[in-house]
This record gives sequence, structure tokens and C-alpha cells, in this order.
Amino acid sequence: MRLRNANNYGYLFILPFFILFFIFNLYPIFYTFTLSLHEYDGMSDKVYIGFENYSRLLSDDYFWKSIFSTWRIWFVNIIPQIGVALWLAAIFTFNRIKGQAFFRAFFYLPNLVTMASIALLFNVLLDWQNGFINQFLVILGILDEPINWLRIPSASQNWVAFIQFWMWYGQTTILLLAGMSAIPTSYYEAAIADGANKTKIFFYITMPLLRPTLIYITVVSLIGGMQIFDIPMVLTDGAGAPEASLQTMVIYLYGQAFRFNQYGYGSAIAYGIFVLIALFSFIIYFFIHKKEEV
Amino acid sequence: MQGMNIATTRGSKRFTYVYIYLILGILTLLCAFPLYIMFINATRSNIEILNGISFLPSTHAVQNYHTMQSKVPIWHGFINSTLITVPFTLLAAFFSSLTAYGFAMYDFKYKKYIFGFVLGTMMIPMQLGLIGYFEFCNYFGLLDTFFPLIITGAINTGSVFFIKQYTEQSLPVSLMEAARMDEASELDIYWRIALPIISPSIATMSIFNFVFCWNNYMGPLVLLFSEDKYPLPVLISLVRGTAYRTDFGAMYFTIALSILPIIVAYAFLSKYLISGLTLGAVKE
Amino acid sequence: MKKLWALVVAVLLVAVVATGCTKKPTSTKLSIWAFTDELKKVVEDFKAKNPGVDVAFSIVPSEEFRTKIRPVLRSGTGAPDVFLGEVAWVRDIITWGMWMDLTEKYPDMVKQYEEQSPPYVVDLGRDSNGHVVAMSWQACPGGFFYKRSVAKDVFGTDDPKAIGALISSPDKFLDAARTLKSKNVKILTGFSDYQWIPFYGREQGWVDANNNFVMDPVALDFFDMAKTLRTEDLTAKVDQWSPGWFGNMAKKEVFGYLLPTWGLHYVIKKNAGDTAGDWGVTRGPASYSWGGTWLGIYKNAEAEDLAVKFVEMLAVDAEYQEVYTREVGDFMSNLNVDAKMAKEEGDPFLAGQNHYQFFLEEAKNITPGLETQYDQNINGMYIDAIRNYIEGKMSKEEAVADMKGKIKNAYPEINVE
Repeated sequence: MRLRNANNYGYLFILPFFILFFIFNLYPIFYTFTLSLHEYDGMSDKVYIGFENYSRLLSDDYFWKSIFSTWRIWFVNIIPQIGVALWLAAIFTFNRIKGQAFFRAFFYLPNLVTMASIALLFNVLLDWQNGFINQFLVILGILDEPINWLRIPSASQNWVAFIQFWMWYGQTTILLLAGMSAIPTSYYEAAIADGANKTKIFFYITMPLLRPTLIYITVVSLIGGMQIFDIPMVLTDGAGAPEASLQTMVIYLYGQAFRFNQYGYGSAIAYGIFVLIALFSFIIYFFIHKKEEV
Repeated sequence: MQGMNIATTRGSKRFTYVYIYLILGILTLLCAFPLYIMFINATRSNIEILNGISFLPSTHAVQNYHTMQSKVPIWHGFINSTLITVPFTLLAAFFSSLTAYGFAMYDFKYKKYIFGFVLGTMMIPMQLGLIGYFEFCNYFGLLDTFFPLIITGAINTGSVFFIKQYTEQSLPVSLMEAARMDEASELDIYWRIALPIISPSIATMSIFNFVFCWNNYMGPLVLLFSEDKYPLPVLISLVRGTAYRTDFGAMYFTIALSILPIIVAYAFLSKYLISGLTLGAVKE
Repeated sequence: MKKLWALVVAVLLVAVVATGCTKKPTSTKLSIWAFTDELKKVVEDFKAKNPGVDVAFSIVPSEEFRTKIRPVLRSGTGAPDVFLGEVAWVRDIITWGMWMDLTEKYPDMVKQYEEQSPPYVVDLGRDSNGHVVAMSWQACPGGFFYKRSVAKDVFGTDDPKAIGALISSPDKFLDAARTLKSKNVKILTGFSDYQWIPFYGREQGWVDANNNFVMDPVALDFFDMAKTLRTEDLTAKVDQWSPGWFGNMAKKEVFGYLLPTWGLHYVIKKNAGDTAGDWGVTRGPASYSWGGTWLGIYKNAEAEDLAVKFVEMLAVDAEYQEVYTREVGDFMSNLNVDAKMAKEEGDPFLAGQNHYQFFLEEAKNITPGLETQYDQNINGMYIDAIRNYIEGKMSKEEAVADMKGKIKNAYPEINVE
């Protein structure tokens, strides 16, 4: 070789990253696991209790309820989110819409705004007697008297889902648009030549080819949705009110560890959440692979 | 610009377009309405808000500002957020590009496995190690400092992944070999030759990292104690609590003020953000 | 190439420096953790009295306070010399054993404090051996603050004694509320304003000596009273500490507020607007106490001497307490100071009524020993249970059972039958 063999320099380039990565990421993750095998209140000494925290987790109604609440919030948001985004992406692809770039940029805006600010904004907008939403709905005659939204479990969950929808449908639209524009136009030309109309083209050509994008969006949204924290945390009392309906998995983790000082149990919850997310993701991952083989 | 072949308007009725624009209008309204009301109410007094709604601004913005000032040290929040976010973003840019370059341009042993490992950790939720991280920081006396929040910028796997993809596509190996002939050191090659070429990807990633860190709520909530060190999101969430919640006008004002810079910045950067978004997704 | 590694180090250093330049207590520096800005003025006065002394004053929000301070006290790094406890959780902090035993180390100071302060205030700062570990500069008996002009319109009198007689029991309170409602005035902003009256009407706090959960009949009765207040629409249906709650202080649609000593200067005066001078204070259906802040010294305090000086100045020193109350209007733990203030002219804000006189009487009527280490969270669960009942989501029995379930989950050590 006329040049020095440079390949081992690669290690040098990635080394600083990995040193920091081990110290500040992996070590805490392992340490959390160690903690999950202990009873530890942050004050007295740690007591080793084996997998007791995990068996407690499995029989903890509040944890199961938090899984359910988290799923419900995600589910109520993802359906309209993808629906609206699909419609928008199709409209933008198949029609000449004036100001398309503006709409796209505008719908994406809420996604960038600090979630804590958004949640607080909706907290005041949804105030029972003095919130804008109630005042407005009463004036419009839609409501006879104000509804105490944030005291009703299902309504609170729906509002969180709505905020999630509001924040994310713009981004989903952009991703779907990119996916749609990647579909070769020759497919469409052939369909038009066969006399297919737009609806048919959309359902028989666009949708099947869009599947990987749709699945990607769903998985990413699911992973994020399972970790939802900021909005439900700031929207009500930070402890999942009303009636634990906004106590998502991560809020439960936060409460047990940092409010009730059960660091050991909190660590077990963290691993519980991790296993659940991994499980859900793998299910969808294998689902993709199967379909692609066909 | 996309799929225009079938964007034929010839046959379609005007009615469809009215209908489409109507829905687009409603969605725009939906998007803007909460923010509009926020700005309006930020100018109204508490009593005015208690008495009913209005779609037109009032005259109490200055008063609300002063009320807010007496309760929420929001400028402190801006300063703290900046002090955390800027170094975080710089660390992320530097370490991610360094690492991504290492992965993209060298062919060392076990590279596949090491990179696969990095990819795998991307799936780990951030909360998994949080309690351990908290204890770790406590042990080293790092709680209530910005350090644990900033340092995680250096281990941003998402950026490594993104920049690596870009580097592989845009940086020809021949350039490196030519430089090696000139006896340039490996780091020099990275610094003088590679960096300028891959900088667009670093810039894109930096915008996203900035936004992520600026909006991060849970990390500082757990790792910081004193109010005067709180970044904006934690400070804003405090406003929900009893001691601050005295005046709707001031609350709206505080929220509006925390959001305004983001909207302004977005007006300038939206193009980069949207193109970055799709860049990340297309390859998937 | 070297330059580059230097850059790595530099970036790291900048990060460290940007973050590290905040603390490091030395012996001339006192560090205090508080949860309100109330003490800022006291800190300034302390610095003026002790030139050359620096005070690091950190505010940690009340809801997070215990969570944040526990790990710091455990590891000892960055622990404050003085930290505060609020009545709802001061008992909890005492069980940690992190406050210095003042009775043992500074018996003279404690003796003076015990002599001049209301016994219930002193008792709240005692540990399980009866030793004082935390002291307060204030006592917080409560009253019913009302708008005199509304009283005149509706009841024909604004005399505190007469108004007090109209609301001297829960039933009379409801009757008065109905009378007010017929004139389109709500007696309170929300039902939860009333909670301290049943709390101090109980014979037993939430948990008895054997760690059994206790639902006192008085606390149970309040479920029904709250239901009446809600169904007959006798309150403005606005929660405590919300902007509507503050806003109604300046409006005539709400008659009064059940608030303690600090409620006058810290809450009402700041939000009264045009109603200043239109207020009176009287006893509600029962005497009660609400709030209060205790000061304790970290047992391994680095600046112990300064910490003692600070605590003594604020909680014991009659001279300083007088200066403080003249400026702030707080009701002090040193009853001699309050007695002196009671002889002076009344407050124009209360149309000349002297609130020290009123609160001196009330301070004698407070039942001691009702506070437990669990109050902060269980009080919240209790109000939540009442909400579930009055909103029609649950029957009274279901709401109580639900509350008990939550207590069990949060505190496995409590016996809930």
C-alpha cells in the first residue's frame, strides 16, 4: 500500500463519543436496573429485594391503568392525525393548491412550540368558569353551561389527544407528502391511460405504495406516544388528575420516583415501560418485514 | 410540483375546489385560533377575561407584563435556556459529525456491530436511565447544575445516524486519498476537507437539536432544583402552580412571550426544517 | 490536529464553567432553601445586620421541595444550612431527622421561644422526643374575611360580631349563603375554601398514633355540606388559587374568603383593587389554622453559627419581629409582639378593625396535634374525593373507598381498614 492504512483511525474518531456514551448513557441505564432490584427511598440505605419490585409492578392496578390511559390517548390522536394528514397529502399531490407551501409550513408550526407552553395554554383555555373554550361554546349556544373538562376523565384524555393531534398532523402531512412524491409518476400515467379516476388511483396505487411510510410514521408515533409526559403533566395537576386518567406511564414513573421517593420501584417501572415499547415496536417491525417479502 | 400529471383541473368542478379550500381554511383556523386567543388575552386584564371573551386586543399588555415580572423570572428562563441549549447544540454538532465521519469513511473491524449497537440504542426511551442518571449526578454533585443537561448533547445518536448517511452520500473517498498523498493528518482531513462538505447536514441537525433541547422539560425538571436555574419549559410549568396562578392576563402573557421567539424563528427557518424533516424520513 | 483536541477540551470546559460557577459555601456564607420569596426581605435585613456575610437564597417550588431536598441532604453536597418546612409537610421533614436538635444544642433560645409562642406552633416543630427542631416566626389562625358593603346590603350590618353570629355553625353558614344567593351574591368562591374548618374541627388527624387511617365524622360531614354548596349553587365554583379566585376579591359577586393571617397581607390586599377599606374579619363556623412556615437548621450545617443567628433573629428576637410585622403585617409567633400591635390603631384596609386583636383570640382556640406527616398529599386526596362526590361521579362511600385505595398505594405503611 502506498498510503498508510488509515482504517484504524476510525476507532479514534468514534472513541470520544463512546467514552461519553458509556458514562452518561449506558452506565445510568445499568445503574437504574440495579436500583430496580432494591428498595430505596433516597434517604435510608438501599435494601436488596431481588425482583420484588417487578412482581409488585405486575399486580399494580395503577400501572395497568396507566398503560391503558397512555394507549387510549395515543389511539384517539393517531387515527384522525393520519386521516387528516392523508387527506391533505393527497390534496396537495393531486390538485394544484394555491399557497400549498404556506399551508404546509403553517400546519407544522405547532409541532415546534414548547409543549409545556401549549399545555399551560390549554389549561387556561379549558378553565371551567373562565376559560375561553367554555365561554365561547356557551355564547354559541352549543353548551348550556360550562363543562368542567379537566375534571372529566374521558374528556381530559380526549383533550390531550386533541392537543397531540394538533401538534403532529402537520409533520405527518409533510412525511406523507414526501412518501407520495417518491412514487414514480409512470405508475399514475399508466393508470390514467386505463381511465382510472383520482379516487381509484389513490386507493389502488398510492395507498399500497405508501405503506412503508405509513408504518414508519405509526411506529415512530407509537414510540413517542408511549412516552407522553409534558402535555398531561402540565395540563392538570402533574399527578394524572382527574382520577388518574392522565397518569400516563411516564407520569406514573415520575410520580413514584420523584414524588413518593420510591426510586427502586420507579426504576422497575422504567424497565416495564421499556419492555412494553420494545414489544410493541418489534411486533410492528416483524409485520413490516413479512409484508415486504410478499 | 409533485405528481402534476394527474393534477388535471380540466374535468374537475369548481365545487370540489371550494370544498377543499373550505377545509383548508378550517384547518388553518384550528391551527391559528388557540394562538390568536392567546395573543389577544395577553393584552386583557384578569377582570376583563373573567367577564367574558373578546376577539380584539385590549390595553393591559404592559400591566400584564409587570404582573408577570413580579411572579415569574421569565428573562432568567430565557437566559438559562440559552445557556443550556447553545452548548448542547455545539456539542452535538461536534461529536456527532466526528463520530459520523468515523463511521462513514473508515472501514475498521466490527464497525457493523458497533454501528448496529448505536442504532439499537436509539430505540431506548430517554426515561429508562433517568433515575440512575439522577443518582449518578447526585453522587458527583452535579445536580442543580447545567452540566448533566448539556453533556448529553455529545451523545446524540440520532444526529450521528443522520450525518453518517449524508457523509456517505456526499463525500467521495477519492478526496480523502488525495489529501493523504499530501501527508495531511486524518484529523486535518476531517477538519479541512470533510467538515465543509458535510456542514449542511450538521446545520440541519443543529436546528432540530436546538429545538429539542430548548423544549426539553423532563430533564431539567428532574435534575435542577432552584428556580433561578430553571429553563423556560420548567418555568412555564410552574405558572400552573398555586403561587403564580393569580391573573389570567399575566398567564396568557407569559405563555405568549415564551412562544413568540419560536414563531419568529420559524418564520425564517421553516424551509430548512421542513426539508430536513423529509430528508430524515425518505431513506427509511 | 492538536488544535482539534484542544477544541474538544475547550468545549467541555466551557460547559463545565458555564454550569459550575454557582455554589460553594464558605464559612462566611449562609445558604438557605425556601419555597416562597417571602423571606427575601428578611435575608436583606440579616445581611445588613451582619456585614460581610453573604447569603445564598434558593427558591425551590413548594410542590417539589421535599423531592428536591432529600437527595441533597443525603449526599450532603450542596446542602443548605437552613431550610424551611411548610405546615402541610413539616411533620414529614421532621421524621427524616435531618434538622438539628435545638432543644439540646441551644436550650436558652428554645426556652425563650417556648415561652412566648402559641403552644400549637411550638408543638408542630417538635420531634418524637418532644425536642424542638424547627421554629416559626408566625402563627396562622384563620378567620372569615368579608366585604362590608355587601354585608350591609344583604344583612343590614357590617359589624364583625353580628356577621360572625350569622355564620357561627355550618348550618347557619349555609343559611347565610342562601340569603346571599337570593341577592345574587356567592358566599365563597369555591367549596374547598371551607376545608380548614372541618380539618380543625376533627378530634384526630388523618393518622392516629398506631398508624391507622382515621376518617373523622367531621371530615365526613363536610362531604354533605360541599354537596349542598354545589347543588344549591351557593359558591362561584372557582377553585382556590386560580385566577378567578383572586379576581373575585375585587368583585362584589363574592362575599368572603376563609383565610388566615397571611391571607390578609399576602393575598387579599394584593388583589382587592377598589374594595380596599371595605373588608372586615370575623370568626367563621369554627376556629382554625392554615399554613405557617417553620425554619430548621441542617444537622451538618457548615455555617451553623450563622444559621442559628438567622433563625434566632426571625423566630425569637422580639425586636426584629416587631420591625418585620410593621413592614409586612404578618401575625408573629411572639405573642408579646402581637399584643403590642393589638393595642395600636386598626388597619384602614379593614375599615379600622385591628386584626391582631382578632387573631390573638383565635390563636388560643386552635386544637393542637391534628397535623400529620401525610397532610399535604392526603388533604389533596380528600378534596379530590369530595369533588368526585359532588360532581356525581361517585357515591359518598365510593369516593371514600377510592380515597383509601390511593392512600394505600402511596403509603403502604398506613393501615387502611
